[in-house]
Amino acid sequence: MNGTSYLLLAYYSLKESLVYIKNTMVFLLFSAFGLLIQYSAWYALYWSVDFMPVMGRSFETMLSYQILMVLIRSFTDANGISRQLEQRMVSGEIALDFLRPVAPRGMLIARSWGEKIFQMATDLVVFSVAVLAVGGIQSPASIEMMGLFLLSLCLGYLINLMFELLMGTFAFWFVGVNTLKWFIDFFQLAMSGAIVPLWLLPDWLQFCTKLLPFQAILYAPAQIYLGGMSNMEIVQTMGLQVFWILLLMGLQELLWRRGKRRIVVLGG
Amino acid sequence: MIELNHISKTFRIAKRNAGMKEAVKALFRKEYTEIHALQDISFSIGKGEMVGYIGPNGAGKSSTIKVMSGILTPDSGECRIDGLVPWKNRKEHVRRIGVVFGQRSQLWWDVPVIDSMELLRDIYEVEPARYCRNLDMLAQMLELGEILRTPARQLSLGQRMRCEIAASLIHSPKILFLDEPTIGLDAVSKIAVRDFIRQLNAEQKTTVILTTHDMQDIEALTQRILLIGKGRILLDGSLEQLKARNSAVRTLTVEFSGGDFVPVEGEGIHTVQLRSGHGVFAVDTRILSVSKAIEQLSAHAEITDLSVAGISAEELVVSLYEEFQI
Repeated sequence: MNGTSYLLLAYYSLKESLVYIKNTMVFLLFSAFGLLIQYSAWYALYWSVDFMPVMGRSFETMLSYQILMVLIRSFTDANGISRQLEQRMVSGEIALDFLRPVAPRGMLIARSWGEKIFQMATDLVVFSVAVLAVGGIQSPASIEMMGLFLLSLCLGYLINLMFELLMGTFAFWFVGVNTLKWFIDFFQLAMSGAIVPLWLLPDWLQFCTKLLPFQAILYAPAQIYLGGMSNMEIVQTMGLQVFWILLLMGLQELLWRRGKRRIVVLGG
Repeated sequence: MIELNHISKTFRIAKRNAGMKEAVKALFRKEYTEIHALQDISFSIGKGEMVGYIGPNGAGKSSTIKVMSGILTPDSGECRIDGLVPWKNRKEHVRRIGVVFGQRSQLWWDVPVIDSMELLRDIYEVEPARYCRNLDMLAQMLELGEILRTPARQLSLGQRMRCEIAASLIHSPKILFLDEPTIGLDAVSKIAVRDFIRQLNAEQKTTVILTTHDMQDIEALTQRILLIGKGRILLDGSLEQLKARNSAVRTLTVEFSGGDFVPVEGEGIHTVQLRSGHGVFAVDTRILSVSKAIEQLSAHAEITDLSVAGISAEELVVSLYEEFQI
């Protein structure tokens, strides 16, 4: 299978997503509504302190962070790869993937990109409307910083992708990964900076987030974008991102190889 | 071409007893049952052969197909197909085979069938010219036409199955594995699928291995039968050879008038079914010749019609299952 077929796979998956365009419209509304609630909450917080900086961050920075998070979350989202993988294992469709002269995980990722492109397009709408509504957000200090942000964003996506693949691979052993994933998602939401910027957390909790891969997915790129990091800190942050990618990838590969032998599907 | 030697595979599945207490217990300690799905399976199949693989549910048919298609790694034994070990040279091997699982769809559910075909073309890197040729041929032989432009989820089972078969052949594989290809199809679709498979085998010399519970499939398609039961190969031979094992038995169906029949039970003859004016008797010709049997029967009543038949494939399989107690 050459590169174009992965593209074609993504294209069909995009086409498939379009079948369910109505669902997406609902999600779009939810996404916009969520942003509005967050805006109200932060506005109330800053209003109570006469719009003085909180933990060294101004209201503008806070707003920029939240609006930027729409894009960062959208781009680093692995589009339910673990759910897809579990579903294919439970239903036995995974066996059909192994019947093709291609990498099953490659197919899975290509498919997820079809959904991803569609989802990013809708999130871009929410993002643009939000930026226009608040009259623009902060931009990175320099064009180099923008480049580093984009690089860090890609690393963030890879961490999340590897994490989702790893979770999905557990389904070789236990069915019910999705329930576990649901709890982890909740945890992830709090520890990754998706809702509350980590600078607002107490030190001990900030320390805890550093031990988990989640902050390296969302918070790290956002910090690089908003500035306030020395060059050394940026190198450290990205180094940590690469570390998580390699660790999760290694674990995933190990489990995948063992799990492959467990394919006991399609009956008799 | 296909060579299996002493293939064995054992599955361990968690045993679960009913009841809340047992469910809680299972959380802490699981008990496992070992299932010997395949035990010492050996056979070889030559190029262009059409082989029927039969056996009751859970006998190991699908497991064997999965081993041969590279999905399942056996615990022990050797398998070579065209010189390749399926589960070791997976990518290379799957390029040369086509597989249809009757109970599972390989078509993309929400997009038109033609899109699935194009995707398969790219996945298997089929040259455009050959792709067009294959698609035309398949569309014509399987009467796909408009169906190709319909999303798979809107197809009837028969239409879908025809598409599945087409999808498994778009890269012109040398070997075709069909796992219950006629399951749930109506008579017309069944005949269409059978005709196609026969034609494919005759014209393209494609090796076909098919599992089925439908004995008409076997009768219509295969020259050779492998019987599997409880994970072991029990018989390997042609349908005729198998029938010959039970060839001594003839079924006499008799219509009669006047007089009442008492159920005949004697040397080499026994009554299968009996109601007024109609009787079915099984005759073992090694003990009692057919003419002697008719003589016996006509002594009881006036025979108005009579037919003599050999054993059908269906009855054959039932008697085989009984014989091997599977």
